Amino acid sequence: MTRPGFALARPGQSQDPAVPEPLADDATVDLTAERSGAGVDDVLDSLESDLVGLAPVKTRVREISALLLVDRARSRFGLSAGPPSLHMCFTGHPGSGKTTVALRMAELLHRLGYLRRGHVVSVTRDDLVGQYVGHTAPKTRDAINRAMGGVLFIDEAYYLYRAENERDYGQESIEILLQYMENHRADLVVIMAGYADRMETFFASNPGLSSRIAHHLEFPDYSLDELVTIGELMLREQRYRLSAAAEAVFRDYLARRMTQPRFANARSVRNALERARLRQANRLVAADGTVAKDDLMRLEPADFLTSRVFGS
Amino acid sequence: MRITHGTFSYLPELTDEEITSQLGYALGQGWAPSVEFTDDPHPRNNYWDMWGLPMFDLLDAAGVLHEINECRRAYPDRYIRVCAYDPRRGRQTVAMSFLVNRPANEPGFRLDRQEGADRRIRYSIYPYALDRPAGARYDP
Amino acid sequence: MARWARRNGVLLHLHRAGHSTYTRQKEHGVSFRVIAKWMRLAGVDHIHAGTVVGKLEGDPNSVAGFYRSLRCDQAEPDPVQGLYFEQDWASMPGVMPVASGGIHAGQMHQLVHHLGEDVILQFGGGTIGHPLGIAAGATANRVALEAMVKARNEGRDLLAEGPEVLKTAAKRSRELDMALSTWGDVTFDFESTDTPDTTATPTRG
Repeated sequence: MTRPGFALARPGQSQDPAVPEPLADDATVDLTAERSGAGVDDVLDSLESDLVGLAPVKTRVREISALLLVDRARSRFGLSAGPPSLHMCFTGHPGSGKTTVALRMAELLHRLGYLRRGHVVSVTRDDLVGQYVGHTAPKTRDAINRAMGGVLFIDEAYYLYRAENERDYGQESIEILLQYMENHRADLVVIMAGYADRMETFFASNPGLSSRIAHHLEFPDYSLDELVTIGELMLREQRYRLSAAAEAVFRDYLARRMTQPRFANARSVRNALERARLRQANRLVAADGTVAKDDLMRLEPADFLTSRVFGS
Repeated sequence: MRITHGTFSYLPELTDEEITSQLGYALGQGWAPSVEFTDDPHPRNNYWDMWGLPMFDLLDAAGVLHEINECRRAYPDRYIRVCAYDPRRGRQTVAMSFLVNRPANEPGFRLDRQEGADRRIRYSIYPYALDRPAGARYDP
Repeated sequence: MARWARRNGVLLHLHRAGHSTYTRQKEHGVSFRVIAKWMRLAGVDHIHAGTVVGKLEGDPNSVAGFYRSLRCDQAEPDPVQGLYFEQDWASMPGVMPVASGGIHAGQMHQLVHHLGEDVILQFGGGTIGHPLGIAAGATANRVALEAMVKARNEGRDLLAEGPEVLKTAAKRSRELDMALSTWGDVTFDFESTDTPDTTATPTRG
């Protein structure tokens, strides 16, 4: 009578990655075999194929996985003392892939045996900080308890600290987080995310916090080519395609949209495609004839050109 | 007198690993654990003081163990128990409840007889711990 | 009777003495499953539903079928256990099955394995016959049950590791130790006269 979904079971994957047995001093470890045995290769490969661009991030993720693999091998020889600090900070603009990579990171850490469950609990300031005295601690502890065994992903973490308002309860939440980050390194990984400059200010005013973050990953904005590729990936997933003429128009659209305010990288691309689908639907209905399967899949230039981005 | 309250009370004290293992079972069944404490060991005392709210939606027992240890640090001389609540419709009750901490000295109970009309006697249990005021019942 | 019992705050406990005259044969009578469902609808609180390893007989699959009819909110069909229909009991409360008859602490692993935890286990001789007295008998049974439930929660295989769990628990409990040495060898092993309608046959490879 177990609760559905509790086991986070995926076909072919056991619940808890096997705890490696200790080794004698003269034994040897085949790291490549270890890596593929733990299923780490699958995660890294899917990271490579599913996420466009983000070269520095992917490199860093590989480096971290190598570090943890070696650490695991060392612990089998009795060389490691205590779990490594895995708390991380992701900086970048909205829509640059921070949450997606956090999910992959949780999966990776689970397969390497550093997280027991590998789920992600995503919170913002409102989930951690209360409105009145005594409200904050239970809220923060509740979020942390739900994230135990996995990753606590704090989006826009700098909002926790409001220097200008002395009655703000964010400081209490930060202190509780610090305690758990220190004492429960084996149970929980905290990933903070947000804009680079604001995170910098946040860490400057909370040195205890920044000293506990082991890895800082910067998420660069996507280039135009990368955004086009992302758009095409999304369309393929949703079973749409661009007509030859529409491809050029889409590229032009993105180039213009990038320069406009509040551009949110991949999220803006998704929104643009949603609007294009809307316009395609209306075009097809207004044309008032019969449609074939390809008509339903194809996006035409007209579906993009009516956007405000083109100055009409 | 080592009171026997709740599940596993006839067994030796559970270690932290065993507690984690039992909580893992409870979480797998979809039950929500909570921590409670009291200094009144009467068997009909159902409502103990709550240490924090019941913890719903947990996937791992490490957080509960942390709360238990915090409670032990705050009240080392009280009875502390972990309850697991089953929210399934048709049940909606505590499914599992076991002690995780006891005072060092447990004075035990006495049997009180209340004599009534027609030579009838009513029996009740009185815990010796209640001779002392609440909050200072198990001081040496 | 069920309504009177509810109104007056007493439990209605149904013993099924004599049921075998009509529940065990295919050619005549009424299956006990029908009685169980009927009594659940009638609103009784306890009903003796079979013990599997006790001194009276019982086929494990049929007994599992009875217990499910009494306890589950939704019963799925399972011909091996004798349940032929999907049954949704809505919010109707279940009946507590009672297992009673020659059981003792040494069989606790089999009892928990076959009957689960939603059951009333009645140890008559298995309590009173304890060499150290009735209270000791009760303590021995309680220690055995708690140790078994604890082991089951930890994920251990009760049928395989049960005796070892009992031995470990007996090291810390004199009452259980004596109970196991008194009754440890008592088992009831005979061909059941229950005639299940369906048995699982392994598919030929």
